[in-house]
Amino acid sequence: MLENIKKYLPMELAAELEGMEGTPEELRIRYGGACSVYGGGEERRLRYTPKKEDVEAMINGLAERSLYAFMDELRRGYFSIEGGVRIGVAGRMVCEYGKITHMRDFTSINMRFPKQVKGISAAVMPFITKRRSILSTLIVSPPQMGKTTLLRDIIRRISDEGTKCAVVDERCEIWAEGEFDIGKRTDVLSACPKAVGMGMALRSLSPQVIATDEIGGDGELLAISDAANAGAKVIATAHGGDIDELMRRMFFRKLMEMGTIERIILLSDSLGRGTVERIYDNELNTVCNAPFLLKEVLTCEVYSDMRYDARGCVDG
Amino acid sequence: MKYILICVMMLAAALMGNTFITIEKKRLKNITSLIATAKGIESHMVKRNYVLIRAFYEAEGECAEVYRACAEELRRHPEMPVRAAAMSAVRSTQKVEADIGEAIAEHMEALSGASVASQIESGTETFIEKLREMQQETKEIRMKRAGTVRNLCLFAGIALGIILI
Repeated sequence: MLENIKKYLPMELAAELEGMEGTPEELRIRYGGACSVYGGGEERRLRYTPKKEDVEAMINGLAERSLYAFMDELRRGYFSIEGGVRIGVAGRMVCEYGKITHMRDFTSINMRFPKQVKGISAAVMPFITKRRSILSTLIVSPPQMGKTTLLRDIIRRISDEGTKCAVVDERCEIWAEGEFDIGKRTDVLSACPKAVGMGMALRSLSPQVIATDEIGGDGELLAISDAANAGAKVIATAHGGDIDELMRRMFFRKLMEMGTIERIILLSDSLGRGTVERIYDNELNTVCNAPFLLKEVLTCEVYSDMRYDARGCVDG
Repeated sequence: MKYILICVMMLAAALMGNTFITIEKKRLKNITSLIATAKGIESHMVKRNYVLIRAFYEAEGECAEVYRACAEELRRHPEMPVRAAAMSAVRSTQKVEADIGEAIAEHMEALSGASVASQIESGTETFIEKLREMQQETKEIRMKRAGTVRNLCLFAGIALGIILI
């Protein structure tokens, strides 16, 4: 993935990245600040010092000299490119009547490289299934703990096992235009606003499960409630450090009050990134309280053993 | 018989005069086609939200080759400034004259710098305005040249006819 974007980077930076070991998860470039690569939970500072014109040129290149084509996303502070790479940007907002119309004078870039780890959902499946059907689940964690990676693998698994899934991939990160395998029975609405997409999927694709990333915006509560009341299950992710923090946000308080969400998986890095810290039910009772690390389980052994009668905790 | 011969010679002379103004004709055709191409590209970018290179690849019309060549150039050399890629495409395709090529390069540069749809629209509008000015000038030149050349040929034809008679 890094290979695809190297052509848009200044030669000095590209050369420095060339000699680097491991797969980076995040590349941060700040005008007047540091340029860092994050991977495996560590930050590596680069020697390259970004100039303002470099930042502008990189953004222009990454947007294929077509910033207008990404302006809807840029108003929200990011745009996604080939391979599901999310380019977060900072700069000067141009506003009209209090609304952001466009962005210019870019100063920072944060590139996030998504990855697929097949099999990591095996250990959580027993907790989020009941009598052969999936429960509406919310995956919660601070940034970069593996929410989307877990969501992607849950979709892939249930889809391959026969469940009709619809993914509303607003940021083009879950499916990434075909970059990742999300199952044989999954329909994807790419670059579609979540609230609109969930309604569309419900009406036109008759999914059993609707999945989406990072909920919490206007109109999404209603869309989730509509989906749940129409018989579809919802699997979504949200930012949050712990359950108390989450419940202090009105959106999630209401979501739980509606009874739409049946399971909450809380991820952390207590045992390393991708730790399932706790799993809660719809009344916020703990279903699993012993942290375990998500691992790649390519066979379905663990899953099938525990599939329908999970009572306690598992350790991978 | 002699009068018929004179008439034939006059007609032939007038037709020969017309062939001298094909340069203007070709230029006018190019300009008309470029206007349509520019509108098409604008539509691809604004309505279909195509990125610049794709919009250039999908360009249609006689002079679309220039845009396609530029897209190819940009695809191969992502670091290349758009203006340089445009000029290189104009040179390699040899489809248009230098002044039109310059206008195309400016147009491409304006499109590449656009961050909202209105900038694409105004960039295209400016380009089309420029092309229309060129079109008007070319038409005037053609009218003048055509008239002069045709008259000259006509007189030459009459003179030749009289001499022959």
